[in-house]
Amino acid sequence: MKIKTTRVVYWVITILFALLMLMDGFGGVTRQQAGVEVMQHLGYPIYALSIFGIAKILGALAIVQNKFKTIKEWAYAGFTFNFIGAMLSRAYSGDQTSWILFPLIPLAVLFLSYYFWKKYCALPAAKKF
Amino acid sequence: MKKINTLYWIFTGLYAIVIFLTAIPNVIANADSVNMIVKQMGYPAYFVPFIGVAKCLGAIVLVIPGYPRLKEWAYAGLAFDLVAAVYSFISIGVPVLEWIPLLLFAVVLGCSYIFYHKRLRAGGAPFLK
Repeated sequence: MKIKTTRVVYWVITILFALLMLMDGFGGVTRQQAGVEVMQHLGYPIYALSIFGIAKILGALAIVQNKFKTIKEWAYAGFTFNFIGAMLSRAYSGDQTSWILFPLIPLAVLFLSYYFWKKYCALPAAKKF
Repeated sequence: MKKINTLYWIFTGLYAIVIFLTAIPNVIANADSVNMIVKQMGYPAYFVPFIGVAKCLGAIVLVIPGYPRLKEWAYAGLAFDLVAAVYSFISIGVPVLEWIPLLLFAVVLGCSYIFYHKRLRAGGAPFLK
């Protein structure tokens, strides 16, 4: 793959994912009705919305920066655990298959971003931005 | 190198033992852990064995040799678990003295992580590619 393509795909996917997580995170922190209903449906305490919300906002910020590698690696880990946890919670709550499998979509976007991040890291320094 | 290795195994072994001691009651969902996590903290019943299994898997990854990416992610997951536990305890108004031991766990986990990376560097391994 061309250097330029790697760079563009990496940034587009990563920024898109981070924006989605930022919105989701703010929704959680500000206790939007939709989030509250999901927590009630899955049986989680309402304060868990703040844990997930703050974590998503910090995670989104962590994956759009390239200075601190460990923090970024941990953010990818955290998002992965989050989506797996979401799928299992849906399954345990007896939701229909489409709801159980839905978190696979953000998970796939996340892994694409991760894959291109590793490719991006391998680019010569002068070719990054 | 020998000193790094010894300290690494002391902290890592200690943390793994602490995790197994606290997570196995979760895995079997004994009365005490259900009372704490479900009745007091407000998490759903299915979450008890779920978090127990997740913590055990994390501890297993820490003590088996190799798998640097998986290890990095396990450290991340175990750290997020501690932070979320402290947040939850504070949210439900548990007195500081009852959750302060978690900070001690965090110190042990942090030391294990620091010596894990010292050990990697001493062995000439770079951070995850």
